[in-house]
Amino acid sequence: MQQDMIPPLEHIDATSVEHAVRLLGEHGSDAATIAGNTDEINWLKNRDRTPEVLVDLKPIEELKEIEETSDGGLRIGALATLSDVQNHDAVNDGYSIIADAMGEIATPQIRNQGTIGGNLTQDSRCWYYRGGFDCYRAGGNTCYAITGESSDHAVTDYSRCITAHPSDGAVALIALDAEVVVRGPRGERREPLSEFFVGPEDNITVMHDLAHDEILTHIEVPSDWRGTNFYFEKVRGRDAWDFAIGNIAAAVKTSGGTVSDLRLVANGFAPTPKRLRTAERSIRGSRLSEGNIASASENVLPNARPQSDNEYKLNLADGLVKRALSNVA
Amino acid sequence: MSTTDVPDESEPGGSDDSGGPSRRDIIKGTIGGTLVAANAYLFNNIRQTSAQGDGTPGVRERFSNQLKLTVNGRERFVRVEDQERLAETLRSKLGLTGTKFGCDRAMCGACTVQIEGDPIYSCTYFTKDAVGKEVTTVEGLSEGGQLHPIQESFIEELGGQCAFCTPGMIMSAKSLLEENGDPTREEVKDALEGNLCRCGNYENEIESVLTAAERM
Repeated sequence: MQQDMIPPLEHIDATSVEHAVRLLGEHGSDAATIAGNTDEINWLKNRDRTPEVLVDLKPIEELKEIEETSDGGLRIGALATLSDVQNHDAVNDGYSIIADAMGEIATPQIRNQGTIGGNLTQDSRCWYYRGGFDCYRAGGNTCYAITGESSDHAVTDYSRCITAHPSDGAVALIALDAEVVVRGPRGERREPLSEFFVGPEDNITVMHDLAHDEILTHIEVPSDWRGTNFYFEKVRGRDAWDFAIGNIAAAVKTSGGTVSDLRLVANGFAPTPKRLRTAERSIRGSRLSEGNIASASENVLPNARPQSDNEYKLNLADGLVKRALSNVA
Repeated sequence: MSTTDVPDESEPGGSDDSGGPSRRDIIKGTIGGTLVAANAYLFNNIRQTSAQGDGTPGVRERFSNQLKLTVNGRERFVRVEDQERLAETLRSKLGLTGTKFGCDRAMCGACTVQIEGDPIYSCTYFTKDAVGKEVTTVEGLSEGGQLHPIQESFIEELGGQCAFCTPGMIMSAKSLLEENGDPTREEVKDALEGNLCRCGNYENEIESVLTAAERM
């Protein structure tokens, strides 16, 4: 059986973050970065991407560590596999929502290979973009999904491109106010994970703000939400492999029976992970009563402009908020 | 006759009138001894200079342009391309065709093998990345002609229908049973979720794994 041979390329093991940054600078757009390599390799097999050099981050051991910080937060190396994160004691002790999200990603085999950094920096799943169409995201001047099949696509916050963000890890981590640490030729920078993602209005060809020669090194979770009440749910066509049609991560702090603070973050509805601020505002400071939950979970995406075949996502988003607030524990 | 036979020929007083070793014996003995020592030195050296556990290429790999893989407990030296995937190497270079290519996109599970005991898709895993790691394929399960209990139970419970997915299913099942010897039906389902069966024979596959768990 003839397989999809990958055209010849040079696979270079980076020995350190500095080495990787230097290699990416030297080879420029001829180089692609790989880590778990569960996705990039498919672009190579399809020959939609033909880098001459692969810069492999996997040998950088320091980026595989998961540790509890001195203040009780978490510091997760971007190269930790999804399984490592899912099964780590420090993650399960106080931040179970991260483990819950990891456990819902793809399949055990992919979780053993894919990294949490890759889950956050993954590319669009739009089938036109992936199929080699010359859409806006690929540098062309049309969106094929708007005129074609858009059932999995975004319903809000889009601009020309209507791709939906696919990450499960992102919503759980944003609900915990996580930050990302990035290293590049100009040194280290950090920013809230919620600002790491880039929508098509700002730059239609990327999903996040990593420059070509920058490496996502760590994800840091502050201790603020440790041990609070969580809920994670992912809705998908089948229980394995599939990306989320919609997902939700909820973190809720209560004091004296009322909600003092909460985060509701969903993916699958917009080109970047979506904070559901309307619902958050409506429930903050009040009790989690049936009536309050019902009114908070009404029209959670007020600015949505769905396509004809993804209008169902509005009900889905409302339903996910309702379930999250009803079952948060 | 090889020079290693020398010790047998030079028994005390056996080959010379004078009772001591002859000049011929001494020369043969010296040559033989040197060869044995040289061989031991060379082979020992090769073992030391081939890749160590950390995956750094040793002298042998650099001179022969080969990688050292550990597959089913055996060291295999093989020349691979940078872009070559483990399933390609296993099937076309090492002759281990039990591992199947199904979708070649990490979307079916027929190519599942274990790396350090964890299941991965070998169609989506560069061979280079397996250096220094223990690779186990379905061929590594039977011992001395005796099938592994999971293989036995897949036969008895009709776990394989067309059986193209079976090697991958078995490798996922093996990874599960190594961590959890007494899984529930749900746990078996979760462990097999990364393996598709186009015959839809899932019930028998789950039964096979549960039966194997009882016997292990």
